Amino acid sequence: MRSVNWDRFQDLMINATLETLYMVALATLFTVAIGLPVGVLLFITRRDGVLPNRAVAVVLNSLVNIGRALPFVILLIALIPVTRWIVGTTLGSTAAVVPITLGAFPFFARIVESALDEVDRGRIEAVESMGGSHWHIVSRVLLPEALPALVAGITLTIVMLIGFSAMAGVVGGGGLGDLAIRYGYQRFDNTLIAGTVIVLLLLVQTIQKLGDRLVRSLAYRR
Amino acid sequence: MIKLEHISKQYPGATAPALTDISLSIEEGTIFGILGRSGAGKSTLLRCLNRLEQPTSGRVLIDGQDIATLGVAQLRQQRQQMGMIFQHFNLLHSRTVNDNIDLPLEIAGVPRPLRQQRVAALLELVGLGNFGHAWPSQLSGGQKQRVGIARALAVQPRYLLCDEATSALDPETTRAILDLLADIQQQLNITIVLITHEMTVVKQICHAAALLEQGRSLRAGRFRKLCRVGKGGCVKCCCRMAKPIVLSWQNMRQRRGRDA
Repeated sequence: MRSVNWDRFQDLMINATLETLYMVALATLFTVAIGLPVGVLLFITRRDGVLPNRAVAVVLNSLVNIGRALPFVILLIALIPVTRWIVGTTLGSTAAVVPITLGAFPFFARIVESALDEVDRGRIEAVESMGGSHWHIVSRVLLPEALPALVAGITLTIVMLIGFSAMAGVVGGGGLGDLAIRYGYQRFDNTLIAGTVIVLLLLVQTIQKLGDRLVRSLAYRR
Repeated sequence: MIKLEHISKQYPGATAPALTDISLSIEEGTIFGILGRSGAGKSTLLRCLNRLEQPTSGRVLIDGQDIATLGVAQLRQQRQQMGMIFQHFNLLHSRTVNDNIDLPLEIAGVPRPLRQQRVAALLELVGLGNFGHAWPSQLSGGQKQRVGIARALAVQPRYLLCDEATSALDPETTRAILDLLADIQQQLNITIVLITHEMTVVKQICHAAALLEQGRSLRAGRFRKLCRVGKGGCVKCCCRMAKPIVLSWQNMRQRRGRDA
């Protein structure tokens, strides 16, 4: 067995972890920014929704279903031209954010939709009876009342994004997935495999804990 | 003045119509009860008054204005004239009591300093002076309904619609809430329309009532027309829906002093 070069190990691990965090943070931002409005629209344009609209509902539902039907690895490769068009390159962590976001937002939109579905219809009706507009219903009832469920959904999504970011490493995104493949898989460096596994475990554990705590503090008085 | 003219409502896919040819008029400054069993169409009828439901045919006239003809913005204005309270209160759990009562004021675009004053006054009115910073989940059912009432009255509506407002409450709390409603009606001289399946509610506070069965109005009118004199100077309400309920004349006169 080869002796381990700990300096190099440390450099590689820290770099890869930072790249992963960067991808996940940026992707979370965009996933929520796109998925939240899409989820709200999915919910309110339903046939029995606050603002029924068949055309919008059909288009968004198909879009979200397509996004969720395709395995991420395939999406990753299929989206290469889109990534090049948006970022200008397909290499590096920033470029990886594009397929990750496009792969994850349909999932998050569905989570938003089902979180909003849990909001008591009577509360929506109460605000309608006050003369509230659709915007009032979304901003004063749906989102605040569903907030704990939305935060739980974001936590779930971040954990999934960590998985996506590891796969995105395969096509040049960098990060822990890339490290594990290049050094662990291709060069049989088991120390690095173990390192990435530990870091990923810690990352997921921490995010889940923080998310749970936030959900609990939000739901505390309700 | 609320006037219903030949209101019918057929839900798509339903075998029987929810409402069939209902005509009613509700006088200004009265408490009007709509009595009926579960599924009689009471809720549907009440929701027609602020167009949360659209009748299939017939007209709803509020102060002579057919509300089916209102545009979206006008309808919202109109709804601000009609506060509504609910069986399950429907308070927002993401807001404190203060902020719940504030919501209709916020929606109506009332300036903030004025809103704070109104909220404080409303809390006093419903007897919850110290509960402004409490959360709905910390309140009892009766207290929640008081918040509901304060919220419904926030923008000083002319009408108050009560959708089974006491059906989730115990008898004592029911009486207290009904007293509060009667009190408010006197103080603010608003018109209250309440629906209920409990005869006792109608007995306690209504000036006039209508009886609904299977979407039809069986009888409507001032109390004496609704009831007929039975043996021993008592009045029997001839509800085909339930056992006749006996009211004493005296009790009725007291409550309806104005029209006696």
